[in-house]
Amino acid sequence: MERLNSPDDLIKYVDALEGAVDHNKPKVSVCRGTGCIASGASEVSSTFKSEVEKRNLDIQVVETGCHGFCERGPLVVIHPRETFYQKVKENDISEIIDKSLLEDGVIPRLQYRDENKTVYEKENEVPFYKHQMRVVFGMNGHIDPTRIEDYMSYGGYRAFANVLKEDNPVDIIDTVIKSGLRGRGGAGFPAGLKWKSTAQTPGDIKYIICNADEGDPGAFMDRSIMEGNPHSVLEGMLIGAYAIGAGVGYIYIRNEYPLALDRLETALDQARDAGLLGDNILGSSFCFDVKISRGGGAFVCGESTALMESIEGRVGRPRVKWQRTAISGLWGKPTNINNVETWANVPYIFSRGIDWFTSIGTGDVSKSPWDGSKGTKIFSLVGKVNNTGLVEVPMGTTLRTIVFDIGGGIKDSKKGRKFKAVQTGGPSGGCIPEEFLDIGVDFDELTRLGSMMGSGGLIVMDDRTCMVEVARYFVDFLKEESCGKCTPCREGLRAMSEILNRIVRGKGKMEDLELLEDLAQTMVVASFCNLGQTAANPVLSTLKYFRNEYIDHVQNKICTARQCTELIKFDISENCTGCTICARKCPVSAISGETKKIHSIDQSKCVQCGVCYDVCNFNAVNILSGPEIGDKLGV
Amino acid sequence: MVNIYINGKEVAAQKGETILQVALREGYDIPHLCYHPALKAEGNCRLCLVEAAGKIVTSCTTVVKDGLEVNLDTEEVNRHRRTVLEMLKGLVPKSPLLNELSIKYGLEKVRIAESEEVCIKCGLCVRVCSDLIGADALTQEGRGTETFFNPPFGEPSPDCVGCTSCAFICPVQCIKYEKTDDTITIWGKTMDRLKCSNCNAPLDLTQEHLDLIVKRGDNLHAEDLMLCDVCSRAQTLSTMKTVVESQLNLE
Amino acid sequence: MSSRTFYIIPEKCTGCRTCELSCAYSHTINGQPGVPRIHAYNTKPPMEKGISVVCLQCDKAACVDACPVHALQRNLKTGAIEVKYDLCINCHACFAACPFGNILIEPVNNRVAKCDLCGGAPKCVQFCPTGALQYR
Repeated sequence: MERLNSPDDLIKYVDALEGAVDHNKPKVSVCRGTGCIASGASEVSSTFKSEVEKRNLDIQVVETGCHGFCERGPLVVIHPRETFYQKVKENDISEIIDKSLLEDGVIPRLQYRDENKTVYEKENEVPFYKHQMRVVFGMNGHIDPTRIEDYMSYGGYRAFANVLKEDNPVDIIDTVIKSGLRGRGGAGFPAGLKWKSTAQTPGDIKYIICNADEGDPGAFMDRSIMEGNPHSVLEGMLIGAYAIGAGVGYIYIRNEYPLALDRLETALDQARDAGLLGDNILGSSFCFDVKISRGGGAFVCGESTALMESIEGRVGRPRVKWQRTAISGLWGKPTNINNVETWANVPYIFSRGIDWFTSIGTGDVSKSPWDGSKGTKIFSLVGKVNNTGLVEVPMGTTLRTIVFDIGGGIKDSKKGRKFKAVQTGGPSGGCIPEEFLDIGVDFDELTRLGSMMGSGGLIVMDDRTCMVEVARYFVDFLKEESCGKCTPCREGLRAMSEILNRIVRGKGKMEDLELLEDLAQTMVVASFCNLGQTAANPVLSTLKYFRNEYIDHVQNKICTARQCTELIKFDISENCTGCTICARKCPVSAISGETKKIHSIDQSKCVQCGVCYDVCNFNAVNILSGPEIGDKLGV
Repeated sequence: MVNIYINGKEVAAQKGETILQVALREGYDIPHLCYHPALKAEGNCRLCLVEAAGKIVTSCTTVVKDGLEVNLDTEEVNRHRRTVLEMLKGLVPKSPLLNELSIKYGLEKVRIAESEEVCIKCGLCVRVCSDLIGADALTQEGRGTETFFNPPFGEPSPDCVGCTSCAFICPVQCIKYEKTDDTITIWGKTMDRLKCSNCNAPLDLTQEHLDLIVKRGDNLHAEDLMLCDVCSRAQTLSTMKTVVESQLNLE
Repeated sequence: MSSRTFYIIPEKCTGCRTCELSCAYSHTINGQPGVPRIHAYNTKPPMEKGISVVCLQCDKAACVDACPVHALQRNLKTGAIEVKYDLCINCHACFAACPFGNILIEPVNNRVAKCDLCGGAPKCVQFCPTGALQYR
């Protein structure tokens, strides 16, 4: 596109693009987020395009970013009716064009239906979407992330043009402070205050950084923003850089995100061509450019000082903050670092206004930027729920709404599975039990419960999830990812991992629980960086809310959830109909029995994999633990 | 100048000093392993915990502020210090220094599984080599519990000068080296010792170290460094004699 | 800079080595006499009998120049260049750099040592029977 030479040019251009959009024109959005690509979205969209071309139809096919409902991909939405199709395959496309684009029909086979077989036609009627409030993800289902014009046709970059034209940096920062925007990376520090101290530090050279080193297992919201709407991140960074007086911005992105990297690079090139990056942006004296720094995928590099070390070319390991990064950050210069989601929120605050932003969320920000949490938050909802994917909700939405309304409840609840806990905040977060399901999720509430917001991972666990095993899993993950710099994190995790691995094998002692607590408490206060300080959370929160399970493991050798393989045995009861499916599926041929007669398991061969339990249709496989084993099996 | 309170006693401190620096100067005892006054503090060992303004912090990385109240031995500080010490002793069970500290700070029993390590992973060796000696021959390898210190790739490093400062600075004395009349061997690298240009006695110096010293000094010349101390003194003596004799002759 | 200077007066020196002894006993290591930082030599006429070699506390000292950690610092009261042992990393660069051979290694603990003018009251001066060593 042509270079724009003034904010007014940009506004005119955006207005024109926005006006030219015909919302009644038939349009097909094909989700091309990573999840949908993995289930074949690329083929779906290219077939759509070739089919439309072949038939010479006036239908726009948009390859959009992530829609969030990754479990059901590839997702296709037919506009303007917003007909929502899921799990679309290549050979469905002809039919979709015939029935839903050329006519007003629907294809029931491709529609979403919930556990109760209720069918939903439109995207925003589907329970997964209905309870959400998609702001940052608002454009994701509509625009092609590789086209700057698409972003502009939804009003993109207008906020920046207005800011550059009318506001001075002090006002911009004031707006961000008043909006109550808190950092989405985990700690929830008010973004405006951070901007302010960086802006106020004297110095010619200042940096801003976008932290895109998303490392929590199962969390991928930043990735989806960058893949689905990279320009919103850039616009946020532009506004921030202008307010702070930064000349260079860095996006620190992990190399495991090739698509996000690609989309960002495209977006940067387009923004440079349009005169939105580089020298004399939009004809003003404001000069700013963004560089991409790729990380090697170390979890600890999400920590701000470790991230800076990594950008500077050293091993990513946290360093001593003699001064705040706002005073001495990257290369010793004043630096402001925010997470992808934080930057992506900024344009909306300016385009829709403070009043709109503060009307969403909890607390009263007019009292203090620390009071409550404003705006929306994207969660990555995974685990034992029916609907998994990315969920954007207003701050303060209850866990119950997220898990049961949006998530559609616990998977296999018809088979008797029940909710047990939800783990928030990634590996360093904590597990929250059922009694707290009605709290509104925001920064302060989660911290109060001994967990944290983190980057926004929500892992739902059912009654077949062993909490000791959960703690063990996260501790082992963190042990792998600890940088090794400080003693409490390195040695504390080593010791905890050893103890927890012992407990899940039934070899724990009661003193171990006390030792775990001692180690955890010292790690919290004595670790060097946030990774170590929060690394004990999985242990502390499970010990706090699920101590009984630990005691069961240690004293009674019982795994309450029937998950720890060394504490359980499988047994086939009288319910067995002799259908032989378990015998056929058993990978080690430990099950024997004649057709229509009760089968039995050879315990000496059984490896406790649980396949028989999963495949049995008659609830005939029991999982025994503790004294039951002796009673029933006589071992 | 600022004033801080250590265990309730008012103490004067320089701006920019850390709590540990002030406390050590004033004769207070704070256990520390990874701190060395010639190096910038890194806060790795976490043993120098104190309570400052009601919060537990590492004294080596906390800069003093006017009126700061520091307590060195509260119940909580001692508890966390003992746990950190326990972690370290679990890592290096046989260190005499750690045993001594355990007795001093009341750690009776190590409850965690003991490893076979000898290194406490404080990183002083790497820092002395890069920040002070300027040789940059050592690096931290591995990560997390697998951390260890080595010349890069475990190969004898071309940058090692054989100064043995790493072995000296190691708080648990786990870096070993060997000196013969002809050679110095450390980190798997054997270097020749230079010989006195006069009497051929072995010098406490390798060619690599000599080059580094000469490069570091503003006014040092390699040939001046090639004499042993005995021959240097003999040379000094003869110079002095010449001066004295010439004066005597004048008289 | 200190107003006082260490003088060696060869005319008065008998080479009796009392200075070495007093030095060794005033810089003990674990209760044992240390390495003397001053050396007395017997000489032949026309000089009387001896001469002592000790650190000259050079204005532009090579040892200070070679030290990577500024562990060698001048005591402004006495004029002596002293080793700050808490800073020293034992690299022995000063030992190599001194062109006069006046930095020594204590074999017991492998540490460098040099004349520190006993903090302003040199024992060698005190015990020199002939007044060949003076500090004034």
